[in-house]
Amino acid sequence: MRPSGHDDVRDALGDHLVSLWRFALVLSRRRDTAEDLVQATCVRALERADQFQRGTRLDRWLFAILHSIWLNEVRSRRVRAGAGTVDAEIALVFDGGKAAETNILAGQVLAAIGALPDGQREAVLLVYGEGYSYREAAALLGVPVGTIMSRLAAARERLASLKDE
Amino acid sequence: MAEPDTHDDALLTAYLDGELSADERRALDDRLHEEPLLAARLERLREGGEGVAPALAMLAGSAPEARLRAMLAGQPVDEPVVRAPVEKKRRPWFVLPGLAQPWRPAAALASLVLVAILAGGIGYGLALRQAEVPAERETWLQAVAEYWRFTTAETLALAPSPDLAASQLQLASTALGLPLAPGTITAGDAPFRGAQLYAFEGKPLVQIAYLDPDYGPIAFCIIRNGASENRAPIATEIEGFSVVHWQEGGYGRMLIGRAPARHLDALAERLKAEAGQGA
Repeated sequence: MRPSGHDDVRDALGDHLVSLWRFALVLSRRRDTAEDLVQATCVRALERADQFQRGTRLDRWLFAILHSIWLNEVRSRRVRAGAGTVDAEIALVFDGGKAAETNILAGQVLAAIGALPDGQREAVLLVYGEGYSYREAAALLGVPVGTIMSRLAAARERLASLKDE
Repeated sequence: MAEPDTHDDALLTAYLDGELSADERRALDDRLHEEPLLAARLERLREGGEGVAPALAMLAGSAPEARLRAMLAGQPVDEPVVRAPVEKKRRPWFVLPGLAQPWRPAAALASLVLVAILAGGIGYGLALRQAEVPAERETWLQAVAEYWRFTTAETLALAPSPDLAASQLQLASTALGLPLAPGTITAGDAPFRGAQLYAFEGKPLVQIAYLDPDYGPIAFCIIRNGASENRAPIATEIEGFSVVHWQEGGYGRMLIGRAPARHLDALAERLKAEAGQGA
């Protein structure tokens, strides 16, 4: 008998690859990093499959793993590697009005989301992209519910002001 | 107009997101009836949230799903379950290649990325770090070709507005340090379909898209690679595309598309001439 939910975890990873990737992309704003993050998440989740508690939501668990890898390993390493200036450049590109070829409006909204500060981006993705409740988003990000609320409010204001332009 | 009162923004946002209790909601409804400024604020925040969910859904649609699945399938199935104590040390193949040393070009898997930045990348600017990238370094020509596979006539169906086109060219021009005025990069008569800024191994790379009525999508790409020698246009084929590339004044240039090589050759001559006019 397999000692753990290894197969469950593998199945769940298959089901959630796309949403994990999107979360990773919104966090890192880089497609190469996003794929690496998803891979790291898969590795970590499979390693720790026996720690997964049945009856809790696997997708939440996977998101938490990805977020933790991003926060503790990837982002910090990039900052140490002096990649900060590159990020500034990326933010500039975000502002450059990139239009998605298929959908200019959605492209503009994504560009605007991309230009939001980290905390706002992740809250927006979790609540508006993944349908998390404020409480769930707060738990995942390790912040108070009020912080989620104010980040989303600030994001909405920022997005609205971009539409004014 | 006076500064808007943002005091209740969080509350209003929670209202819009259905996060208030019934009592809180009722209380806020009452206030909204009484306070037009509050109602206006609610409307603004509602507008701010408009289109966010569909845009994020579109983003999910651009996920490199096949590659992610292949990656997952490559994870060992029978990894022994290791109990806690060893946990921290073990990370032999936990690779984040591009991240450990993000800008070191030589690492085989690491660098080969056409970094399409989220927004630019929405949809089509796929990052191209592939598991099967050969050990030798991928050239920028190959990276563009891989990426260009995802562009179709449909994805170029919409022309950017003149303002957007101008701002894209301005951004591209600034990044390259090269004038790119509308009308100086006409690539024949094919309609202009936007300019996007990327980076390849840290070098700015601009891709200008056209939708040729006869041959479909054609891109003119310019990279500031600093290469000193000049090289006349060379025609080749990469990933099934016709490619004509040349090097001039520290910039690599390429045309790529499904058009016959002689068509791209002619465009290359025209672009060289246009660049020569200085503008």
